[in-house]
Amino acid sequence: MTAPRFLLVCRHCHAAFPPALTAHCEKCLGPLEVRYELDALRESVTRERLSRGPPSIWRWAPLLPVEDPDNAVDLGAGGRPLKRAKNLGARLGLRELWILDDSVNPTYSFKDRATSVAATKAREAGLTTLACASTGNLAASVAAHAASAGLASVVLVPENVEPEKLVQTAAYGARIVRVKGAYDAANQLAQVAGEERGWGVVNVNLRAFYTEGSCTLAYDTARSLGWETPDHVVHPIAAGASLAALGRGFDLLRDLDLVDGPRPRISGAQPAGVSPVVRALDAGEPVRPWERIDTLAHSLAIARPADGDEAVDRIRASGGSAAAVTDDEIVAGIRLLASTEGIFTEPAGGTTVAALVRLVERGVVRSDERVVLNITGNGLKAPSAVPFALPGPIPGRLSALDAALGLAEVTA
Amino acid sequence: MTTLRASGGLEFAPGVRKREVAASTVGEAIDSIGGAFRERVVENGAIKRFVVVFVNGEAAALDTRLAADDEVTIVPAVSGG
Repeated sequence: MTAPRFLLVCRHCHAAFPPALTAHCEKCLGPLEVRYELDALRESVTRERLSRGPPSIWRWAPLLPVEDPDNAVDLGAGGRPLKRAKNLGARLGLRELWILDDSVNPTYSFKDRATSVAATKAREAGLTTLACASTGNLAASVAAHAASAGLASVVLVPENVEPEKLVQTAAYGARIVRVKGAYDAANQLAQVAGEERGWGVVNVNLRAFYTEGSCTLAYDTARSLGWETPDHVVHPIAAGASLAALGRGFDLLRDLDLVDGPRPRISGAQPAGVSPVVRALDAGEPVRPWERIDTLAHSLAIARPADGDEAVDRIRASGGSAAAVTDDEIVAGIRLLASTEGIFTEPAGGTTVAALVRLVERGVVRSDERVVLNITGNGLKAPSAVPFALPGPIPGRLSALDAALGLAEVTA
Repeated sequence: MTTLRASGGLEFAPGVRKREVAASTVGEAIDSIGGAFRERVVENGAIKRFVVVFVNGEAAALDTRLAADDEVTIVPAVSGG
């Protein structure tokens, strides 16, 4: 029997375990993370080999914790080059700004990266139901990947989720259950139900594999920049898991000598109405649960970010920072990105744009840096977040159109 | 009686993840089970760092009061929504 390609290692006490459908260290209950056998990877993985892979996150199959990538549940998440954001960069006085645009993933958010890996793992383990607790984006992603994989899906959503986000999820065929309270209430129920009903819950018993999917944010970024690290990445924070995975991803590429350049600085973005990670970072203390959630950025509204301390550590070790932005700034961020780059993002993306604006003003993001802005979801997910009033109708005459647009009438 | 459920590697005894107890607070409920389970979830008079307790889906602490038909869930902290 060959040695496993990777182990599950406790982030807290560093105990190592063979791969299994478990998210927690049996010694201390700390979170488990995938740790690859680096020597074997170094021998087999090259830039050339990775460049030949499929045009999705499965290009990175040698760096993903699955047995047979030919059985991947691949709807086409990730794998696209970054977009050079010349207009927004010029507006903010940045020499080189890039956008990682995950608003165009198969279900229109970055969650597809992680769910694709989790669904593959669920099928590999012979599970028949894929489940999650979700604020909306993950629900859609789980439902779509389950449909493609021939699995049933159950999604538990918090009480205040935007109804329009779930139309998509329902269309994929998911059973939707709305749980009283916020995200944490739905999440604890998913934990219990997963174990008692034998479901693969992507952020619970599949969590160690699921989060590896988010490491591909770093892989796609590095490849797109000619196998170089950027100077600075700005990324939104909900639970903190994807920001931690982003940092881990860059570390793995550097450990394998697949990328040139130093560790990038990573800065975080949270809405002011739920910013436990920014508060902890500013105060130099552990992350504490947020008391009262009040933001339109529902997909970032997690009061107890289980990976919050890890996110703080990652940000601090990288020399980055974080900003908490108001709902007005979030809406302005959505409009700024849409009007400069033609990318319509949801409030989580507006939060990240607004945080970038703040970090530039504070001199944290410097004008000479190569900056990457991670846009994690599509604006059509929650269009009502952006105030809009339809103008009244005009008669079908040119003079009326000129009047409506404030154009001077040209007389012959 | 109050229903207690444990999950995610936590169990009251080998293979036991559900118990019915008579208790007026979360702390009393955990004390009534005691033993290795209590050691895994309580430290210095508080819930341990990687453990979260909910009563009917709402976050709770050791001094949270319980009613007879409450359901208490004791799980490791997870994330990722």
